[in-house]
Amino acid sequence: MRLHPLGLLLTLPLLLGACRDSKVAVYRIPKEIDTPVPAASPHAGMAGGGDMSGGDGAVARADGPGLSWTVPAGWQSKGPSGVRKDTLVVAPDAELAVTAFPGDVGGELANINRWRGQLQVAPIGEGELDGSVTRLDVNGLKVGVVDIAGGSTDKPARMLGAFVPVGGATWFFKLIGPDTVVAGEKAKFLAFLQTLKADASTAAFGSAHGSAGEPPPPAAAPTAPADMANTEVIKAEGPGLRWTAPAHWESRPAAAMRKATYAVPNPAGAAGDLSITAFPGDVGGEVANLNRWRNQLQLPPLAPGEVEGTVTRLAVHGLNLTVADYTGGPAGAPVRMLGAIVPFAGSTWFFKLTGPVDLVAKEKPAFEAFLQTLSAP
Amino acid sequence: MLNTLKDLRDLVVSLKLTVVLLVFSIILVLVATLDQVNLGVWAVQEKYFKTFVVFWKVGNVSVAVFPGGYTIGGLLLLNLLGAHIYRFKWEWRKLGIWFAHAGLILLLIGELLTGLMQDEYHMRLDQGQTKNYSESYRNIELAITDTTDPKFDEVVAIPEKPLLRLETIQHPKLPFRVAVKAYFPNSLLGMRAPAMGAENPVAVTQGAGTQIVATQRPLTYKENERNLPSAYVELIGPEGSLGTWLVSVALEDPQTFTAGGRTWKMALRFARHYKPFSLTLLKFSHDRYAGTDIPKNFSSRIRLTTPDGKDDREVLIYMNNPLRYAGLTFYQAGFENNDTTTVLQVVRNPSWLIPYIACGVITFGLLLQFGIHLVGFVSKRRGAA
Repeated sequence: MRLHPLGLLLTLPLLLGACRDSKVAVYRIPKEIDTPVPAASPHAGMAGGGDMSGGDGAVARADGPGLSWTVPAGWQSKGPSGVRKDTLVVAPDAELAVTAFPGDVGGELANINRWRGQLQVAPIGEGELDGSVTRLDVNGLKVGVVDIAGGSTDKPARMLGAFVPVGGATWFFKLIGPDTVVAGEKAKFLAFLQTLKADASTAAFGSAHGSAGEPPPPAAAPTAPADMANTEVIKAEGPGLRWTAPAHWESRPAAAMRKATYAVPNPAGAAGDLSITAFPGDVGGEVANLNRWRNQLQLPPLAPGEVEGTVTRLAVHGLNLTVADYTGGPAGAPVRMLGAIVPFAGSTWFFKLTGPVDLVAKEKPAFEAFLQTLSAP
Repeated sequence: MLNTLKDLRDLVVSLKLTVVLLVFSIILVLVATLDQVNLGVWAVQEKYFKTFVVFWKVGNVSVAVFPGGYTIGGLLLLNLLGAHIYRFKWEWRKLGIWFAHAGLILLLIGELLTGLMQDEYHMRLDQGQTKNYSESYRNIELAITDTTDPKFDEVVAIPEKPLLRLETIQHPKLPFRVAVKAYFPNSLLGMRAPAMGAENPVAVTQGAGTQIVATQRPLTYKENERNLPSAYVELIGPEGSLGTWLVSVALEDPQTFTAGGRTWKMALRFARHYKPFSLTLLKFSHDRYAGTDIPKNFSSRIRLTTPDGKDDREVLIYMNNPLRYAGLTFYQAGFENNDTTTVLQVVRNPSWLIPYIACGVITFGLLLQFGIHLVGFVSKRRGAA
């Protein structure tokens, strides 16, 4: 058989392509120092809204009850649009935007530095936070106010910003415009903040963690018992959660992958183990994580619709906790597990207490109290 | 026999085949575009275009349902070339058409070469960080690095294929064999439950896997998700097993061990492509329109240096203004960490010039053809007048 030159031409690149990437490669590189790179996340590339389509990346809006206010004379309300709860026209070239997002949106420092970045002003550190925020108490609301001047030298700009945590969400009031215009409106802005009021339903609801249709979270767990150690443990580089562990739990060195480990002593037998881990992203979602736990306990997986009945939802210091209590394991040595899943700052934190059934039953109040100490930095 | 060959020739050079193939390409593009919702761009390209046959799953069986992009493109090329060779008749009036078709042929060949030879990587740089390698989006490698020498590291990078086939790999640079016990193309890491232990199919004796367990997950094709492979590997020296490790792309640090009197690091990672130069991110800028959060511009100020000192310069990479250096193109692709990390897309495409040349040839051919007709038409009118 004679191979036609055209056939050869067509097949040659295919043969070339087939050879790629199947050989072991050996090469020398200059000495590498391992820098702590973030572990690969199941969410492709752009963690934290880093794609080219969005500015802040925050797309989830806080729904449900919120704040009300009185618009000062001379300002004009344009009503809600997009992610904005309201837009107030202060002057032809200055606007006040009202937005609200669930959680603490990365924390005060991150939000202030985001605003500073928008005005091309250098970020501040944790220590400078108190010096740059004016704290107001308005009708029971804790309002933080910042005044940032920046922009370019030929077009100086100014921003008056206020952030208000309300029932698990954070509300932002941002007045931005030319330096002189915004400076002239400052008194009015402060007076406007004094009119902020939480909706009656917010106080009763206590949390904006779900839509209005969801049942309110269960009554608060027992308050921290007196034996809580007062040593605060902060784990994880970057923004991490804080907690206070009960005094009788013994802190163990954090092993690989774990943010912290506690041994829960058991005079009657095997000790319990409390592990704290954090992974980027949602790690497959709530149902997948609950089913992973159930699988470890040899329990059948739950369908998405069945999850609600097996978990308790708590709102603690602006964090939304999903708490599960499962008992399973081999028939001869049953194991009980108390677990909490806490989404925070683009990661998911897992708090898991496992041990013999009797021990975990005894430790349940301490675990619940421990969860109540969780807070964002 | 002769008749059959003639029929075949007539089919190859026929305009009917062209039309049928064009209709097939329209259907292929339409179906692939619709399926992009389920698979994402990359998987759609692999399934519909970079293949000879499109397979669909019916239950557990793959059924060939349609010719793929390579088949349609290849036949179109054959059809075009065949028709030209068969009907070739030199006529200067048709010179423009010849050029236009030559450009089209070049375009088809260029696309084929791009599909076969293009490599896409990415490079993440934190502000102030220097890197001399980029990472693949999808390809995986098991990197076993000899770190004993104080001057350099020697890397043995095992690609994904032998891992997938659970092969035992023996390499002259390694004083041990690497036996792949299990490989999960997508996985989830979890803590080993203290009371459990036997749930894991592979008993891990060394490293992070003594506390962590990987469970297999279905492959994801979603745009905003990525597969995180994990593997259980046993290292076997001349004296017997050195232990079994869990390696995973989701584990942050390489795991260290000693074998054969040398110190080693082992990590499953996205395949790295080292370069003879390094890039440092000096500053990432994310400008927004004043008073809004609407992005206006993204740019990375980069310092490019070579070890021999021949090149040491600053480069500004921004959208539609990539850096082209050493056969690679660096595009501004994304950013992370509150605007302090830049993500550059790194593309190696040796045939990147072909589409430009092809378009130039087509344009020249069309202009020539219209010019010839115009001149003929004008002189005819003059003659009539």
